[in-house]
Amino acid sequence: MSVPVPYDRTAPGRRGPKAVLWCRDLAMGARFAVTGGRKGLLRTALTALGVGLGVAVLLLAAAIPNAMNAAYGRDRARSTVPAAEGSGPTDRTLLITTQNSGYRDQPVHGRAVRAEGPHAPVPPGLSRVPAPGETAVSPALADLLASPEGALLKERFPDLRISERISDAGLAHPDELLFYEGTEALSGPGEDVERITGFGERNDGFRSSPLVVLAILVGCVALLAPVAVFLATAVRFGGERRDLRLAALRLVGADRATTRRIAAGEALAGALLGLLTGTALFLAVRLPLSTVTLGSLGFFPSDVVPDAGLAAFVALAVPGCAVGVTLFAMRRVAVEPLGVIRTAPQRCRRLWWRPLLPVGGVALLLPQAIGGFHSNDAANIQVMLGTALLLLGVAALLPWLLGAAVARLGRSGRGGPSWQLAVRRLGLSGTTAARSVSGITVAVAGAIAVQLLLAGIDAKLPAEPVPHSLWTTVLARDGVLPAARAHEMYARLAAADGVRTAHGLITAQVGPAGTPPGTDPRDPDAEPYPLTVADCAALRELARLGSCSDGDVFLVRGGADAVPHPGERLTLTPPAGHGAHHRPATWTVPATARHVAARDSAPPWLTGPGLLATPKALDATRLDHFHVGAFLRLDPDSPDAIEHVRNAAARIDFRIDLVNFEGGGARDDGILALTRHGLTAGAHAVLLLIGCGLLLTTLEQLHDRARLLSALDAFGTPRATLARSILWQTAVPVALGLTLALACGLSLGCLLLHMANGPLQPDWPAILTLTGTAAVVILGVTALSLPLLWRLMRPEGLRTE
Amino acid sequence: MTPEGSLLSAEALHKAYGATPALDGAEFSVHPGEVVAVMGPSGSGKSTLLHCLAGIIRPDSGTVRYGPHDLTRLSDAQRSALRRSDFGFVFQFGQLVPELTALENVALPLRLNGAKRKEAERQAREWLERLEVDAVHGQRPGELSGGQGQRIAVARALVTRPRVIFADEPTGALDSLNGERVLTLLTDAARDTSAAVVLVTHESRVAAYSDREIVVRDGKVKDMLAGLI
Repeated sequence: MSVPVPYDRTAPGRRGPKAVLWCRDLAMGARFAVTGGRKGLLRTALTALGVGLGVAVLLLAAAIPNAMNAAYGRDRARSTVPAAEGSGPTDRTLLITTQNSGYRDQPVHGRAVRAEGPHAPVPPGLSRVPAPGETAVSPALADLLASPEGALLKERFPDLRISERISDAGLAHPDELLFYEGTEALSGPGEDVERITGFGERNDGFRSSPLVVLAILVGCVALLAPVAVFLATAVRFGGERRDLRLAALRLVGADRATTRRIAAGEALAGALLGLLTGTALFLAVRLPLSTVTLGSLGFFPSDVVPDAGLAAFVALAVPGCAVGVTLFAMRRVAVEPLGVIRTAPQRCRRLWWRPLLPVGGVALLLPQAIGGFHSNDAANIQVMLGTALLLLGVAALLPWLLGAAVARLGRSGRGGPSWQLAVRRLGLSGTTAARSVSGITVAVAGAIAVQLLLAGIDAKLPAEPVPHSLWTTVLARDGVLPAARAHEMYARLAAADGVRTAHGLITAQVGPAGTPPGTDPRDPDAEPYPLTVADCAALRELARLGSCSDGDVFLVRGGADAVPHPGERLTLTPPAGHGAHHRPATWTVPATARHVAARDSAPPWLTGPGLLATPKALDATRLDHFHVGAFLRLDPDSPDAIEHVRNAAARIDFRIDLVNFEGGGARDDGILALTRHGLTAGAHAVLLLIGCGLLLTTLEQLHDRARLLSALDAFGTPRATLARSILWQTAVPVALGLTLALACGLSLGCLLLHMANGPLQPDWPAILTLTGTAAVVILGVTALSLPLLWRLMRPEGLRTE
Repeated sequence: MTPEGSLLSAEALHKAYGATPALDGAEFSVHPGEVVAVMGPSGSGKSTLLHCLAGIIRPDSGTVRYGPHDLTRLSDAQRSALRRSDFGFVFQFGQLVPELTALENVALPLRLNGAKRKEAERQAREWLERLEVDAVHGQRPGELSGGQGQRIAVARALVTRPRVIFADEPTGALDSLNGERVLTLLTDAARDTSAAVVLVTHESRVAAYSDREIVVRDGKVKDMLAGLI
């Protein structure tokens, strides 16, 4: 039988260097975090998950610079360096033209190339220039062409001979459908053909307008600030239970400083696990990023690598924040032995320092608002700092505002027991609620401000009409097809599967020729008249002709644009056009030409004023420069009709363009729209993230009140009363937070708009959507709390033995 | 069969938690104004009996009669309404809402019954005076001593003028002096209002305040006056 070793009162015990004490206590706290039984583990897991979500967002943000640089690098590598104007072919030049099309909602980017010498520049991602008849394809395109889904696309490449696969260096993103086709059809530079001496030497760096930079800066701050708030909340999950455990430690001799260090150790363990979780989440999330494109920029997963400095900052700041926040939070908690936790007397929240943050933010933003925003490093930092201060000021003001509002509501004596319970609960532990909700407030305020800014910038941009037509237009530009092959083109297009109606036409530009004798009849300042030559059936789709027979000519008036008058002599060579060495052919508008009105339903590009002539009235072969076109109506029940038309056009000539506005073309707002959509998605994601935090806080509070809930149930408190109490408890801070967010967001937005010199046009639907999401968060938190509430309102909680 | 004149009675109560029986054919009755102490060792089924009598839980079988009602046949909402209007409760601890003041805690059952706040608080104030804790009416539970907290709980149990008060170890967390004072106030107030008291305890000094003692052992009830029932 072993004899207990007597307690040595002279042993050094907990004496030792401070650093050793810190390490020992932090380690003990970390051990508690992972050895606290099922509940302890659950709490640590929640902290790790919460911190992990925040860390993942931070790592993604830290990866943006590298990702943008990589994406821009690849985009720049594909840009062409044109040969000097007028220079001829050399052994170092390449002829190149684009062949962009689409396949089932995916863009297909193509370039036709012809090396003019052995040292012609090689496109990025290729080992050599494809020889005539050869095609280099991207891996995604190669896979598509090899799959049954790409069978229809393969018809567009009847003699496909793949020379090589384009490597990542030549692609915007992994899923890009891209090809380089070697051809002999390119004879020299022309309307769409370029002679180049190299790739990727364009030295204009990635630049967006200062206004877009402003929007991105504010968006980043608006999205990251609530993440910081959420992180601060996440490291405090389970704080109340932890305090009870610390009280037990006090009973066995731990002093207050020790309990603080142990608490910090627990938080540190959660934060470190959160770092690991966040890294795993980040690695999982960056894969889908390869599907995101920003205009011509796209990403490979390997692009999304956090900046080393920023990643190191996150790795140090998150655990540091966990320890700091825990120690700060414990200032007001007196952990006493015998399990007694006495919250230090509630001090009236001091107001004086809280407005300093938003005021400081406004002070930083105001000079930029007054003088106008000019993007440079100093101005960018000033705007980011000002925005961050203003938004964090909201987070600082909210606890005071909530405290004041709850005190007033509590004094008013109105409302039923559920209201009273909620308001009093908020009064006692409103800081927790305010802390969680401040994340929502910052996110919504930032989102509203940026929405306002983007709406203002959008309103400043010239409005582009959004074409919409049931017609699909096919166009062979000048030089691609001779007029003699026009009929062949119409016939092939009309025969394509899914084409219901096909009309052919030839378009050109003609100029006035009525000039004094002895002078150049082509006045270079004169506006040319658009001319369309087609049969009556086609012309009827363009204008309200009335009667029409071959040989007729029509004049379509429109707006202030001039149209020739009957009897006017016109030159068939456009002003300042090509072919100056020819004697210009002329043509006189017949005296019988009638004025008609254009049809609104005419295909885009073929509407507006000008001349409409039937073939007998004007022989199109007399035109020097012309486009051969067709407009088609496709079978709406045949979704692949457009692909059949593309294939038919490609078989005629790969340079033929096709434009389909059947669904109404979406206006491409580029990076502005992407910023807006990204911000809206980010704000909603942050709202949901904060909702998770609120839910965890509410569930934790319910667990801590299990006995009380059982007692309340025992004396007959209706469940609905307690459910409503939870609803109010969530709704009051969120409603206050949203009100504050609206005020702050609109103010910040106005300041930013002043910088952008844009009109104030709040995007109310977006604002309402955000507030609606916040309402959904409130209801969701309440609904998800109810099962636990019902479970805790059982008599088991009343047992004392 | 209902014992004659009883306010609340139970017959052949059976209740098991999994394979463990808590009540095994328990019988019980209490008359208006009567204080009955329910005694027994830990785990004997005292609290389960109290919870069944109060309609907090349903027994597996048997009946609980209160006036014309069989509590075992009432819905959860009906039993909750009955507990709000006719029953009062005092537990050992953890029963006061920490956010509310002492006065608001006492007024809470009245407010749950639909009383206006001012009227509820007026009545609550009377009970606080009677239980000698009016001085702390504005304080929250965390600021009260254990004895004060239990008096507040007693006031809350009495404020609706219940016909039956259920007290589960009401002095378990108090020192003897405070415990005696609380029990005196509880039983006096109950007798004044003709309320019956079901007092669960394992302390014989607490049981001394009762008119009758019963002992629960292995889920069966023994009446110390009438012998085994």
